[in-house]
Order: sequence, then C-alpha cells, then structure tokens
Amino acid sequence: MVGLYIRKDITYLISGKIKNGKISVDASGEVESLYPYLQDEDADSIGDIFKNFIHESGYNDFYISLADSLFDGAVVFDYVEDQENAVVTALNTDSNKSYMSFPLEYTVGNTFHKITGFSISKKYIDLLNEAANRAGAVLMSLEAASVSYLRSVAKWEEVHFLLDVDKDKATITSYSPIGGIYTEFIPAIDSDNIKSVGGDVVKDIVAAHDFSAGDIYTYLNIDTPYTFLSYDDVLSKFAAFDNRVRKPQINDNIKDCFADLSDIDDSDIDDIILVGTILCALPAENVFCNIPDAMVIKSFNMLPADIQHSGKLFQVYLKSKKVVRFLCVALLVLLVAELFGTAFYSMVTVPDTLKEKYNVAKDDEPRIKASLDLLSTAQKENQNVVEGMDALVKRKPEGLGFTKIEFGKNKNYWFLLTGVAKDPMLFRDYIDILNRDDTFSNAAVKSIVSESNNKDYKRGTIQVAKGAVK
Amino acid sequence: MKDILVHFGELCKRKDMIVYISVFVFLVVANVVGMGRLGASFHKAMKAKEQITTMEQYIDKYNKENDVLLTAKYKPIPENQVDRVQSELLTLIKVNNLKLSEFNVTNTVKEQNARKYELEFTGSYLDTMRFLDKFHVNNVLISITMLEMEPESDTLVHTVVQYKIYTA
Repeated sequence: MVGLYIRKDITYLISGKIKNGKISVDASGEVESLYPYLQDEDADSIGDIFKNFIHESGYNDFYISLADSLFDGAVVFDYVEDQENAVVTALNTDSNKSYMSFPLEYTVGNTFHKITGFSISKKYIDLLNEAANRAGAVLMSLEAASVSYLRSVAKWEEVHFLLDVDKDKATITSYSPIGGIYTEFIPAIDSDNIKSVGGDVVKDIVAAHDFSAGDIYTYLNIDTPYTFLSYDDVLSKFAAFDNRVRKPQINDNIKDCFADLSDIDDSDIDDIILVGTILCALPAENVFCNIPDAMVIKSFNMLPADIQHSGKLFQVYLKSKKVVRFLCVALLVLLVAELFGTAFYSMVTVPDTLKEKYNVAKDDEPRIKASLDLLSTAQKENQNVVEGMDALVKRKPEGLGFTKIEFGKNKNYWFLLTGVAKDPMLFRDYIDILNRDDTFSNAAVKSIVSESNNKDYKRGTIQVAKGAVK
Repeated sequence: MKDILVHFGELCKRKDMIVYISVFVFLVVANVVGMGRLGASFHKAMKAKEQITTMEQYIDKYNKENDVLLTAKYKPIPENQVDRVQSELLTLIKVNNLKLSEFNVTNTVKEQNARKYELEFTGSYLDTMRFLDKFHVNNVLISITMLEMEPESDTLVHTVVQYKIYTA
C-alpha cells in the first residue's frame, strides 16, 4: 500500500502492508511534489513518479489524501432530496465537472437532519487515475486531508477547526459532531503574506469563522481550538489564537491498528495525516472509533464508483494472487513430499541376499523334508531292541534260562521269549517282574510244557509288549 | 457479477498472475501425476514388504527344520555310503569276537530311502550285546527290524538280525 498526502507545496508518502490485520509501515517521508504536475495536468509525469513509487515500495495500491484547498469545498446543509444541487448551489460548482460525495449524516429526531457534502474537480481524480493506469497502479481511495486527520486523531465527539495556508489562500475546515464538515476559503492569507499580515486581519478572520461556525453548528463553544496544518510556528504567534491552539496526537486506538509506529511522530501533523491516509486500507469498522450515536459515517472516498470498483477488484486480485501463491507453495511442498515418498517407497524392494537365501532354502526344502520324514519314519520304526533285550536279560530270575529270544516276527508282541526252568513258578515270577517294569507291558505266559528230553525241566513261552520306553 | 468477472479476467491478464496461474496449473498436474506415482510405489512397496515377510518366514521355518536335522542324533546317509557303513558293521562283528555265519541283502520289496540286510553270527552274550550297542556306527540312522537269539551252547549265542540303513 502506498499512502500519499498531496499538498500544493509538498507531497508525503507512507508505504506498508497489512499483516495479521495490522498495518506494518515500511517507509514514510517527503517525496517529489506532485502538485505542479496536477496543475499542469501532466499525467505522464505523475505516472512516472507513481512508477517510481511502485518500484521503490513494491506496492501498487494507492491511497491519496489531497489538501482541502484542492477541493471545491465541503458544505453542511439540511436534508434535501436533491443533495447534489444543494452542494452545487452552496459551493457554486458544476456537477458535470465535479465529483461529489456525502459522507456524513447527522440525525436527531425527525426535524434535525444535517448532511455533509464534498465536491472536487473531476480533473484531479481523472488525472490521478490516468496516471495510475499508466503506471500500473490502482487508486483505492482519495479523500480530503482533513478527513485523514479526523480519522487519525479519532476525536469525533469534539469540534475541530483545521487551518491550512498555501500559496493561494488559507483554508479552514471545520468539523462538529452535531453537524458535519464544511470548508471556508480565506484569500486574505496565503503563504506569501502570512508573515507580514497584520494581527487585526487574522483576528477578523477568526472572528468571522467563529461567527459562521456558530451559525452552522448549534451549541458551538466559541473557544474551539485550531489545528494548524501548516505554518503553525507563524500562526500561533497571533493573539487571535491565544489558548486556541490544539496539539493533536494519533489516537491510541488508531495506534493499535499498526504493527509498529516507531518511525512515525504521533504529534507531527503531516505524519498524523499520512497515518489517517493509509488507514483507508483497513475495514472502516476497525478504524472509526468514538463516533457520536446520531452520526452516520458513509465513505469519505471521493473516487467515482467505477474507479472504486476497479480498486475493489484490484484487492480481489491481490488476495487471489496471495491465495494462488500460497496454493503454489503448498502444492510445491506436497510435490516434494510426493517425490520423497515415491523415492522412499521405491527403495523398499526384496533384498538380493534375502532372495538368494530364499532360493537356496526353496531348492533345499525337498531334501530337508525327505530327511525329516525319514527321521520320523525311523522314529516310528525304532523298536529299541537293544534296550529291550538288555532289560529282559537283567530282569530274568535265577533258575530261568533263555533258549530263544525273538523280536520283530509278529506285530502282536515286542519280544517272544522261550526259556527253561525247573520250577514253572519262575515263569510267573518273571512276568510279574516284567509287568512291574515300565519298559514292558502285557507280559504273559503263552505256554509251559515239560521238556521232551528232560521231564524235570519245563519249557515256557512268554510274550511281552512294549512299555513306556521310547 | 458479470462485470466483476469481466474485470477480474482483465486483472488476471497481468503477467505475474498468468505466471502464478501457469505455475499453479503445472503444480496441480504434477501433483496428480506425483500422487499416482506415489500410490503405485506405495502399493509396490507393500507388496515387497509382504514378500519379504513371506520369505523371512519361509527361511525361518527352513532354518528350524534344518536345525532339527543337524542336531538329530542319527542321520540318514547318502546312498553311496551304504556299502561303507555295511563294511564297518562287518568289521564291528570281528572286533567284538563274533563269528559271522551269514550276511544277506534282503531287499525283497523295494524300499524307498532304505536298504535292508540280514546278519547271522555267533558269540558270547556279552559280545553280542556289545555289538548291538554299537550298531549305529558313526551315528548312522539304522533300525533293527527283526532279532532272534538262541543259545548255541552254554557260552555261545546264535543271533539273527535284520536291519535297515536309511539313505537320504
């Protein structure tokens, strides 16, 4: 944002941006005066200067305050249907050659209804707009410097008299919370004669203004102080202004609208107006405070609807650009994340070593399986013959002799024993012993017969099944 | 609204806006493509991870089975080593003072992964048991399928033994 305060003698600039709802001031100060080019209606030169401002500030939305002396004037009048005609009549202007606005309305009941009308020559606005178009800038607002001042000091509940002197004339802009704003041009004082003008002349001017203000505003305090927009060092010397000099300051509420005002002198009149100028960039509800209840503030912007429309579109454009830029950054971040993600997931592959191990295992699996099956089969087929034999011999009672031991000839038993003994009871004792041993089970005498060649001996057959031995 | 669109269109004709919109469109397209590729590579990665898990589980199972095989007390032997083992068994008979009467290969039915033999020998009971104790020469997987022992005299026992030598 670029704020310009254009006076006849000098031009000031303030630039900054809105960050988190507050204005962050980048720079402020005096710049090349634009008024001579306005006077010459030289749009090219103004355009070049605007280009330079854009180049140096980086912004191309312009907010302008023009000295009140450049306006046709402001007037307060009682409500009428044809408000333009009221202004034309009061200010003696041509509605075809001027832009008008009616920013203030003051209403009390049905009888007290005051309207403020501003009028400015079309040539200034058209010239500035043309220059802005050439420079690629957009005019966002144009208002009177007195309005910027009022916005900045934000004492809307008080009466203000603003006295400005330029090379042609003096201008007194008056504001009252129960009336509105009107201007009075005083040709008797200008920047050339101000130092030599007599005190009586000034006294008469002040008295005349007090009278006219008292006529326009009801209940006016006759000691209303004056704010000098220029030549305050000279004007304050006149006796007419004894105890009637206001030392304005930027309102604390207004300071809150800025991120940082350290480069701004809050009691310097030019800085006060510059601050009020750039405040137009914020929504009105954030800026206007201490407004009297009966007063309605509409827009002070003197720009015609089509230029304002372009300005609003430009704001849309700026916001769109910001959104698109943000989306571009977000999409770029997302794209980078996608690339990293893709690269990361692409790295997830089956390692060659694992593949090799797997292939080796797969190739060797049939052998392993066959061997394990074989072990299992062998386990099942292993009848623990040696252990069984050993146990059979160890458990054999004295007096019993084996004549044959068989294994594996019949599935009905583990061992089949044939033995001889004198005492046949030994066979029974033997099976008792075997049945008590976990190695065996179901030991039984199959037969006991006398030996054919020796009747004293008995031949017995014992069969025994496998016990718990593994 | 129409006017706004018309004017906005004009504003959008600004060079920087054209650049931003072009970059935006490019990034949208690039992101669509990128998302597709990311999805594909994610899918591929998940498949690879699944494959890795399957392979690791398979290798783990294989290693466990292999360990069982490696730590088994008796192991099957390769076919070409059967004769050597058999020869060692015959030597063992001699070493244990047993007298070999007969030795037969008894593969009457074709056995898979096994060779069947029959040995007949005579000797003292203790020598016979000592021989049978050492039957699993060199931890070879052998199982006795039939055994018959008969005293031949007061000190000698005649033994017939049939056994299988398992081959891998």
